[in-house]
Amino acid sequence: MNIELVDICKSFATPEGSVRVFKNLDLTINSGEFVSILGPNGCGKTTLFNLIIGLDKEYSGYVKLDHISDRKTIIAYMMQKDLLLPWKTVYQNILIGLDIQSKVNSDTKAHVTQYLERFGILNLIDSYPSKLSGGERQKVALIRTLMLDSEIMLLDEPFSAIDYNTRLELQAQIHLLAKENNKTILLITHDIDEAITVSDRAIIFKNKPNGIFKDLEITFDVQKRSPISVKQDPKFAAYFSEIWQSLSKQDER
Amino acid sequence: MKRKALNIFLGLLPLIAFLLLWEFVIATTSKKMFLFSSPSLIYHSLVENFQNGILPNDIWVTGQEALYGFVIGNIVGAFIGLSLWYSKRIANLTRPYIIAIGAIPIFSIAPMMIIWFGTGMYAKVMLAAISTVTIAITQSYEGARHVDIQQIKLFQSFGASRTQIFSKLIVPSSLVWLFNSLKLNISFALLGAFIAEYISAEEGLGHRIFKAGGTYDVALVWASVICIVLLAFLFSGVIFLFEKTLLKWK
Repeated sequence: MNIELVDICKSFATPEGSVRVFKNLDLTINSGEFVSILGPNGCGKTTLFNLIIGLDKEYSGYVKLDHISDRKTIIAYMMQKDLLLPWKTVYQNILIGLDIQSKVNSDTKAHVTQYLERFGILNLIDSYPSKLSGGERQKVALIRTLMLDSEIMLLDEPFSAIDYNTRLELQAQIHLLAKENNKTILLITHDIDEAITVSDRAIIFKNKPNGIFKDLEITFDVQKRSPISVKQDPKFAAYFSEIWQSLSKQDER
Repeated sequence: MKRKALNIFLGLLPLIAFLLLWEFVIATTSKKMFLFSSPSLIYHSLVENFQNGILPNDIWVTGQEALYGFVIGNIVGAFIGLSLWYSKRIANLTRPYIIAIGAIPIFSIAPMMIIWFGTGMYAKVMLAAISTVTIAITQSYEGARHVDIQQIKLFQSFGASRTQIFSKLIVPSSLVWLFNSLKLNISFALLGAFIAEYISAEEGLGHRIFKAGGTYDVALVWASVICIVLLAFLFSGVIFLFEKTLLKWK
């Protein structure tokens, strides 16, 4: 399913007056694409997600999602913080979204178990979040998002607060899952490595009131894309340099 | 184990020292004995009034009044406090009234309670309930207000209705605050029941203290005070067990 944002203008009221975040922003994300969004702090990356999912409705222009009236059933949103409910076990936390959408059925437990096994945390199924490490919490939050089985996934810096090894593991998993299930994924990240590793496309935002500074297609000639294999590809350094320069140029302004 | 026993002993040490000192100082003159009583006399009064059934009956009466008032006040307060989450405007409008109710000294409205609801149990329960309701309102409202906005956004991203957010997020998130309110309200419920009994009653620990004070039976006053403290410990123990069961994730 395509996501199309047309002529989006968005401002925030602040005590110092109105701050414009987007001015005539046009953006199209094609079905099945994995797109990373990079840009300076405060350039409107999270605001973009809120517009796409419909949490923020105060804007002009329009977000076209093939005329879907209830966007929330086809979009899953994973926020920066894991936001696990401390009074629920891992299993119960994973079910929250499904429970709200009344999608829990007889296959749910088996499905959750598969994901937990895949992410290596099946032994934690009945644990409370207070017993989990940062990486384990993030894995649970990711499974909670994946369980919604939405066509579109919005990931807002989901791996920023976890250790390097776990991050590489999750990057590999999320890329694989996206391709296996033909998901459309938008990932906000500050990590250029991460953006190159998992994405088909990297979009670099300008400082506000912004638009798109660079829209870069990322392809690798490797059979099985993984955080290790792409780093060994000569193209990796070239992509890194291009994205780095795009971001640095904005800092200089 | 040994360390635990030592800690308990160290905790009790100041109390034991105080009681010994009290007993020793008071034993020197009968005038002091009359004015302050002594730990041994209080102990005898406790034993005597337990055996003749006076104190068990008073504990039962005050305990019931405080318990009913406690339950009513906390349920009503929690309901109002959590409901205020639904409307910020109503919360802002009602805030001065809640502060005003909380600021009223409970002693000052006790006579009206007796006039309106009579000298029976009803007035005592009402006063205990009024004593607890403000804290229950403010604590539950604060609990609802302090729910992480990101968590609410996550629920909204799932497509949750306001009722689903309330029942699946706001209420469970506020439980920690509600338990704080319950702990604080134990003493307020007992105080409400006590004051009502003190002003007008036929039985109960408040009435017993009033009556014993009037006849200069200081030992019985102290014995009744100890019973109130024991009631507070009992209530606290029950709340502790509830908290351990409901908030086992903590």
